[in-house]
Amino acid sequence: MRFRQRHLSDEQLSLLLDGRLSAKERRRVEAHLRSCPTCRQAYQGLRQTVMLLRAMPRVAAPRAFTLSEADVGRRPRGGHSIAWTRWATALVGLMLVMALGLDVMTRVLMVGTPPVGKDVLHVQAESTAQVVVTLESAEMPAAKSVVSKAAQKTQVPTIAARAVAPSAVTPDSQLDASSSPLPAPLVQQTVPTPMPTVPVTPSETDALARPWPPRGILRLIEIGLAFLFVLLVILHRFRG
Amino acid sequence: MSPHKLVDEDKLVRAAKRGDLAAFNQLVLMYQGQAYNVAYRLLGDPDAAADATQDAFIKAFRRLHQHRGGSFRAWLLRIVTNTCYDVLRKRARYPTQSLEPQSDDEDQDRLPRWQSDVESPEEAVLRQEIHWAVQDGLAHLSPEHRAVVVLSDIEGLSYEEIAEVLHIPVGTVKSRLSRARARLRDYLRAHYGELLPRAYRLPK
Ligand SMILES: [Zn+2]
Repeated sequence: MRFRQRHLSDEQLSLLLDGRLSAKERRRVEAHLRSCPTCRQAYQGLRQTVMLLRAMPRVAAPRAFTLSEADVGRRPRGGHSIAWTRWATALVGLMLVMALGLDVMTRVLMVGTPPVGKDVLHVQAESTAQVVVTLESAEMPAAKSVVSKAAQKTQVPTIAARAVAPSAVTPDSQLDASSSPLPAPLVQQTVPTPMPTVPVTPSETDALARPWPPRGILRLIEIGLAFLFVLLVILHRFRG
Repeated sequence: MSPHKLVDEDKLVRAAKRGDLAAFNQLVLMYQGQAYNVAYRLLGDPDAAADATQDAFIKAFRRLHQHRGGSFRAWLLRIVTNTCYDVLRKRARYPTQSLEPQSDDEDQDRLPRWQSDVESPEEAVLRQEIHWAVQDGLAHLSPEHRAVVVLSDIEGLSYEEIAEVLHIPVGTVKSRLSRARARLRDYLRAHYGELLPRAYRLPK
C-alpha cells in the first residue's frame, strides 16, 4: 500500500455507497479503493448486500388495517362526519319529495291539468324519482310541514339558477295540443297522491292563471334540491 | 413526497387529532403497506406482522396527541418498530417461536407476484432462494441492526428519517447501518457462499 494508511472502515464504505461522504473524503476513499484489493472486496460485498436488500419484494398487506369505532373503544355511530352526511342526505331527499309533491299538487289542483314540462324536466323528474327510491331514509315522517316550508325558503336554487334559468322561465300556460301527453307514471311513483287525469279546456287554464308558489321558483327549488341531493349522495359514498 | 401530498396529509392528521376516525383511516390506507412490510421484515412471520401492524395503528390513534408535527410517517413507523421490539422481547422470554423465516406455503403463494413473465422458472426459484437467504440473514441480526437495515435498504428511508423513527442521532444511524450491513454481508458469505455469485448475475 502506497500511503501506509489504515484500511477503510465499513462506515466509510457504507457512506460512500449512499453518497453521503464530503467531496474531499470521497476522493480520498476512492483513491484508497483503487489501490487496495482488500477494501475493494469489502466494498463490493457491501454493495451487493445492499442490492439484495433493495431487491426484496414488497409483501402485500393481508387485509385492510382500518379501525372501527369499536377498535378504538368508542360506541359505534360516533363519527360526526358520516352521521352528518347521512342526515343531510335524508333531509334533502325528503325536501325534494315534498317539493315534487307540491309541484304536482299545484298543477293538478290549481291549473287542473297535468303539467307539460320541457324534456329537461322530464329527465330531472325521472332521475330524482330513481334516487328517491334508492334512499332508504323515510326516517322523518313527522317533519312534513316543516320541511315543505323549508323547501320553499331554501336558498339552494340560486346555485342551480344559471343552468336552469331558460327552461324555468318558460311559462306553463303555453299549453298546446302536441305537448299535452303527460309524463305522469314516474311522477306518480314518487308522490303519494295519485294524479287524476282531468280533461282540460282552455278556459279553465285561463281562470287559474296564477298558481302558488310560482312555477318557476318551484322548479328552481326542485332542481337545486336534486343537485344538492346527488352531491350529498356522492359525498356520502366517498366517505363511507 | 410532493407538497400536495404533504398538505393533504397534514389536513388528515389534524382531523384525526380531533377524533375523526374516517380521516385517520385514510392515513391507515396510505401507510398500511409500508407499516406491514416493516413489521414483516422485522418479525419474519406474516401473522405476527399483521397483528403488530394492527396493534400499532390502534396505539397510533390513541396517542395522536403525542404527535407534535414532523413526519407522520416517521412517527407511525416508530410505533410500528417499537411494537415489533415488544413482540421480539416476548419471544426471547418464551423462546417457543423462532425468528427463522417461514419457508411455508405463504412464501410459496407470494412467488408469482414478483415473478416476471420473461423470467425462467430456474431464475424464479433462484430469486426465491435469495429472498429466503436475505430474510434469514436479517433474522440473525440484532433487532436494532435489523431495524436500521430494513428502514434504509428495504424501505428506502433517509438517514434523517431513520433517526426520527428510531429516536437516535443521525451519526448513530450511520455507524449502526454500516455495522448492520457488514454483519449481513458476512453472514450471507458464510452461509450462502455458493448462492450469492449466482444471485449477483440475476437480471435486475
Ligand atoms: Zn484497504
